[in-house]
Amino acid sequence: MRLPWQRARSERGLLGVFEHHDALVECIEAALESGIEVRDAYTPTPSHEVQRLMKPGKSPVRFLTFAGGISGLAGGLALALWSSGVWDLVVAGKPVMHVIPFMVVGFELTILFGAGATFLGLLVFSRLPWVWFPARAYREEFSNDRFGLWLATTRGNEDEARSLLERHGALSVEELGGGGG
Amino acid sequence: MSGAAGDDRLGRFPYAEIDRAILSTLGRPGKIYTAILAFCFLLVGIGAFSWAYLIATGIGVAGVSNPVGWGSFIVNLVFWIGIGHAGTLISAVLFLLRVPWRTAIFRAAEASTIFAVATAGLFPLIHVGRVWVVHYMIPYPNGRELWPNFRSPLEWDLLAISTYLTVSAIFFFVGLVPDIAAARDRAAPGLRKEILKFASLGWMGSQGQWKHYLGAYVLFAGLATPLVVSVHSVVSWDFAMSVVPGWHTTIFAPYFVAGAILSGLAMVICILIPLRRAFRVEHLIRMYHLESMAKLLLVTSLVVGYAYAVEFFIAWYSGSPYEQAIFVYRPTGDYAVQFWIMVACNAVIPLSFFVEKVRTSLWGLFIVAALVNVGMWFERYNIIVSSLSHEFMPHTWGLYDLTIVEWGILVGSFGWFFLLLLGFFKVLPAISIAEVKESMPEPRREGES
Amino acid sequence: MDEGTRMSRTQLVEAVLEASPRGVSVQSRGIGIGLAVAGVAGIGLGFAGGAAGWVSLLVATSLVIGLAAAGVVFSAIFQLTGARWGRPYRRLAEAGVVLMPIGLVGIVVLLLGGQAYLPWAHAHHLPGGKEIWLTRGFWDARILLSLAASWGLCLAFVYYSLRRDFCVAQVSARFGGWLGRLVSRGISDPERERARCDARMSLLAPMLVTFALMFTVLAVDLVMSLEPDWFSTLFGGWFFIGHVFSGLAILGIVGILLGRSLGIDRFIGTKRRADLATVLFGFCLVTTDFFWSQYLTIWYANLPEETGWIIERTIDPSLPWSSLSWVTLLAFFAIPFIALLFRKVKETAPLLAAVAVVVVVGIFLARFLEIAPALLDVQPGSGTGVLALPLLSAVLTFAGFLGGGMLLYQQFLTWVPVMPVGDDVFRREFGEEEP
Repeated sequence: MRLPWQRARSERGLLGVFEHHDALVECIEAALESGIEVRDAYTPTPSHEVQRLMKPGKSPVRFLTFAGGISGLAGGLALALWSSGVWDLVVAGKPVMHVIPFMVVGFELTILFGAGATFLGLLVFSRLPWVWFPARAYREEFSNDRFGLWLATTRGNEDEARSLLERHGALSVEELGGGGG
Repeated sequence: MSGAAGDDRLGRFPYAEIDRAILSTLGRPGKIYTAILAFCFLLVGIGAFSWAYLIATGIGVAGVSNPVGWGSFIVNLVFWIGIGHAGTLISAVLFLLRVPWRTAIFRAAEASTIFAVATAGLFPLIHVGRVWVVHYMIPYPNGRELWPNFRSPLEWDLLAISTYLTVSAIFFFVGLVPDIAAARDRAAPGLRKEILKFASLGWMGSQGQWKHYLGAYVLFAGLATPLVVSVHSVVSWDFAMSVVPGWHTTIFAPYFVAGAILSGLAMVICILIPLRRAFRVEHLIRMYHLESMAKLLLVTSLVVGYAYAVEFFIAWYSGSPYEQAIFVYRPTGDYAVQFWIMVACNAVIPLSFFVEKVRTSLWGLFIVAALVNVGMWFERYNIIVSSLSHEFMPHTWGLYDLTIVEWGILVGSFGWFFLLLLGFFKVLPAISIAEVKESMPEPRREGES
Repeated sequence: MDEGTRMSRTQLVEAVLEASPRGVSVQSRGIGIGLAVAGVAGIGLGFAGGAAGWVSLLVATSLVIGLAAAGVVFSAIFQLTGARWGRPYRRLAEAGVVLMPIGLVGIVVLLLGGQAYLPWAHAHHLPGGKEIWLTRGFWDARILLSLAASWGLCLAFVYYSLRRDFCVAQVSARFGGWLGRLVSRGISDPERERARCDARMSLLAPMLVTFALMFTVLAVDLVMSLEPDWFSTLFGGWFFIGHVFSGLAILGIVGILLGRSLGIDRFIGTKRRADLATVLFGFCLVTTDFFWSQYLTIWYANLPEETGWIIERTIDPSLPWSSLSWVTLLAFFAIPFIALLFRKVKETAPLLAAVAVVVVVGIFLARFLEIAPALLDVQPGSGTGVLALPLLSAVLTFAGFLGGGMLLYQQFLTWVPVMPVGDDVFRREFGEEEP
């Protein structure tokens, strides 16, 4: 069984570097239409058009956030209520166990656990940290002012993919050979 | 993320220029920077020495005593937490409201939040005197089955401030990741590049990464917004939960939050004006940004002024002799000077921002913002010290003043804050590269860049 | 950007003019009249039961005078912030000023009848500043002055907003009625006038400050003083925010109802509705925060002069108010908070309308709970049944006020363009950029 990144390394592909955002979007649309697999696209800023084409739908991170928040609320209230019950002392005239002061505790921990869970979710779902870095197709200018489009090709459609990239104004087209980084 | 691409008021620059302008701020520090840094070190040294002296000699070297048991340390605590609020407001709240002028300034504001909260976090430690037992406040299982009192606002404070520091730090870091990647990619091969590779978590700007990043960012903003309100509300409840006249009043929570945003914005303005000049990024942090902050500052100043007025009115209306006494004492008693500085700097001087000339002049902005910072410190002093010195029973009344040790710690805290901030500005980008790029029109074939 | 194709300037104006109603349908008029009649019946029912009539009038009037200004508050906030999403709502919000005459009627009746219900009107000695503050002449004058000041500024703001629209040529041609002629008097240079009106609106927008003061005065005078021993510094803020919150909810409902009947769905589409829902969620949090700040502070310090008011309304098991207070909390906090977390609710019109109605009910009940226990003499041990008559009367009265408002609102919308065509930001949102 080959692991995901091992599988990736043996794929063939083409990397097109673009200077203009609209060119990238049109190229992606064309590639999807002609059935060429768009492996990934690299942009220095989030692009809603590219996201819509390639990764529609909402991120599932929010489910983790919800789970974290609920556990924070329950945990906070539980901790406060339980620890007050350990000694059964009336302090400052307040009832030993009352939900009103403990709502603040619960609220803060809701936010804390929710945020922690969100961070965890972000790392897990986007497969940060470091696992995929640097991907074969990643070039340093993609965090500056260039856009990258990685098309996965088979022997059959490589020429078609190359001409597609060039037609849409790719500054350069690079071959990403199979087998090895 | 902000959805403000192509807003003319933000200027129009190509991506490469933004990269260059912002990353060039990370270059070798100049003479002025080094001098200011050295001065901050000096202040921190004074603060550290004062604190060490306090620990060695005892809490009595501070002016706190009976009846004023909470003095400058608590004033500084509330002051610094308040300053921290602008960053989260600008980062999270203005993000959710899709306000366009947020993009170039939120990084510096967030940095000042983190470091302000880090500075604030020192003060409970200093204030309790016996620093070595502060861990009692943390709920951990121990041999004597002792637990902190969760009914106490001071415990809520611990939770709120720790949550705030943690969540702000996470939010801050997540926002930094694409920028660390940009710095990594532009760095020459070497140790620095390896460190940046590590810190950037392997960010590549791939679509999978952006998708979850954007989703998480909205969630962080959504979580941070109620947090920012709750933290200063909890801090205000340190006072409002008591029965002390001048402290026990229902308006404290929103009043403190408004005041925190006021002082935070003032500090951010004071930081940004020299920063944009020193880093030569006046084309990215424009008058539009500064003026927008000034307008928001004006709004919060009006809210704070309203709160002052309502407190006085209700004290008169209620007929409670203790409430009335404290509200006569504040403007006319031993701390009258502090009171009138507070009113002038927080409620009166910011009204000058109604005048366009004032809020669009760099000096006008800086002076008013600096005075607001002064006024907000005195507001906390006024609330805390005057109420404690003038409670119910006349025979318990007493005065308080800062001792030299407390002054040392106060200046040390400013040194600490600016030290951390200046350090940050040279290590990581002070302006968000990715978001400023996003606020620019995308590079299009028709050559609109 | 909203869905729908972008149009040229002229097309935009034409589309707005086409969407603007020409007359009020018999059906809507019928509903409005029906509600108004129900309102009268409600007041009658209330007075038949004793002081409940005054409770109903107070609740309905305090809500309506706030709602009359709430819409202009939103328009002013849009003006100050330059926000783009809410522009199509502007005129619908500003039209809320039609509630002013209704609110005024309520206030006049309340002022005239003050001796009958004001607990302090016959008091011999009131502690503290109340000795001076709560005296009849001063009280009446204060209420009228604060209404005059803030409503005056509201009307000035709306005047300039309308005038700005009437600088567009086709608008004055279509709307030739008395209102159109009033606001478009003396327009010589339309483009310059438009800019001038915009500048005036920006100048007036900070008048929001007077609203804070007005709402505080009204909150203290109309509601808080009903139990003269009690006070809370945040009460004015709480009053204000409740009105803004319910005002936003009503704006959402109006947008949804008119969206269908007038065909302004292309302006107020799913995305914009969702934006309003998000802001509604934000206000839910702020309103709850204001409530909680008061409740927690009073609960914690446990001072008898403060807790009596709270205990009577929320905790005392021998009185029927506590169950109502749970419903209130559910209505203005729990239900909107949970419901508005879901994208589905924010985007689906009927669901959003339902949540908005619940919000209005919540704020209504909050006012009722503040006012009724002070004026009604409810014996300990009475069940919740004793609330039926006062509550019904209050609901009918409020519905009546809203019904009257509905009649005036629909009439108003036939006199002015339904969208702010003179607003630059609105134009840029929907029309082509000027070359």
